[in-house]
Amino acid sequence: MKEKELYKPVAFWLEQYLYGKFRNVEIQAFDSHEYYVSDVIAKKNLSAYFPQFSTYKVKIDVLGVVLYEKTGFLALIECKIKPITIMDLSQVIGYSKILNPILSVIISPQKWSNSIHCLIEIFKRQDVLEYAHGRKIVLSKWDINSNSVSYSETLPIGYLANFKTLI
Amino acid sequence: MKKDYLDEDVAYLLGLIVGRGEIVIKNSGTIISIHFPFKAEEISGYKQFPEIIKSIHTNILRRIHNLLEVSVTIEPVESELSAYLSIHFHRNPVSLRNLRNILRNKLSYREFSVPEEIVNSENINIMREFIKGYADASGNIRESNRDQIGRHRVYLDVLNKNWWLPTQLCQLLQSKLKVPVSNILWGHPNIRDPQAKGGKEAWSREHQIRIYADRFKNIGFYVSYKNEVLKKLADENIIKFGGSPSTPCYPSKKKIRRETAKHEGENADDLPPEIRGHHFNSYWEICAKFGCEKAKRRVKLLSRQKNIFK
Repeated sequence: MKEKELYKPVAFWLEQYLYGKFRNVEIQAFDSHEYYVSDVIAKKNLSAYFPQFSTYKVKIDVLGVVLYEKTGFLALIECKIKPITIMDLSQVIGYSKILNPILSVIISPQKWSNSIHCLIEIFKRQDVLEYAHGRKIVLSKWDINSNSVSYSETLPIGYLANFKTLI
Repeated sequence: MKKDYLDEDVAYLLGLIVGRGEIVIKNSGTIISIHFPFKAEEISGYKQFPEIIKSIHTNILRRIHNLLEVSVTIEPVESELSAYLSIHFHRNPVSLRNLRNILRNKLSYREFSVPEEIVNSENINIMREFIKGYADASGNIRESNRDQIGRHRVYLDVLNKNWWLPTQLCQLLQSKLKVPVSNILWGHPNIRDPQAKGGKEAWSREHQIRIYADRFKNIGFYVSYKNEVLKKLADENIIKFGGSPSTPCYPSKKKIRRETAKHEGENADDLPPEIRGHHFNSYWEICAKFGCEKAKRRVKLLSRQKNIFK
């Protein structure tokens, strides 16, 4: 399986997920891996919702936007086909610090590496997932059968289900 | 957790409970016990007993513990090749009250129905997680579930006493999740024993909601080995048959192929009043009695035609 094959189903899932969590907002999600987030926002005529958009010079695999009145919020998903590593996490921490999305997820059909498991589950270092006050990066196994995240194999467990009450 | 609180994790737990859960209220507290039964020791090379214990431990227990923050234990029963997941509440916290409220204070999978909160949820993931929970506890996939031409199917079992649940699950699958149901094998004498050749109570078995494996793939299981078998058998359906029908069970196109024999069990006390004393030739005639609107329309049309030709 190639990483690119994940982008479309992941974007579809993200859009459905956001629709399930919000009411009376406009939602879009799309494969954005080829372009800087700044360019995507410009191309989609969404710059009015994101005043700092010109600084978003990073590429995200799948991008979601939630538009509410005059405010826009980002949601991002990075896709991996190998187990998620500490390096993958570090990369997304950086992106998330810059973009400050309401949701930041890394998915992989192969879940995550032993070092991630040790750091977060054994050494209880969930603090490394936090990129803004109360906002945490979510790691999740992607189920290629159902084209959905596996809510049972998610770190922090329960975060995706309880997401709406967290923001 | 506020009253009526519902998210994907709660929906999954509700699915497990509606599938095979019982709520036992004692002086010392309340226990929710969820049974994970299976029929064969091994399916498709997977030994079910250790596999189910592993999946409960890695995928289910942690999630429920995190949701409820109470003690959750696995009780393997090797002698009967099954396992119980027990959730222990020492008091009556709001999380338990919320679950009981959504379950309308019913206590057993013999009487639970699909909660209205699930049906009316506008979140497709909530409905999907509910069915996934149900399937983890009460669904099975194996090669012997195939239809007459060899297409593999998932069966969602419903205890015989619970007659309203099959059509509720069917409607959730078909109308909301767009997963077509092949048919429902009712635990009814005319359906389980159509030629009236079986023993007195041979028909009194679970109801089975039958769904083609490649269609159920969109839902899947969290019990890992079931999910692996599902993937394998769903792929076989696609390779051998180009996939299974994508249209939902549509009674208006169905014909009664063969009249069933009169069966003494039709009047059994075990049957609910809605169908006791009635004779059925097809599964969807029973669906009509338990709330399937499409089946009701078909039954009405058929009886009108019969009157014309009389």
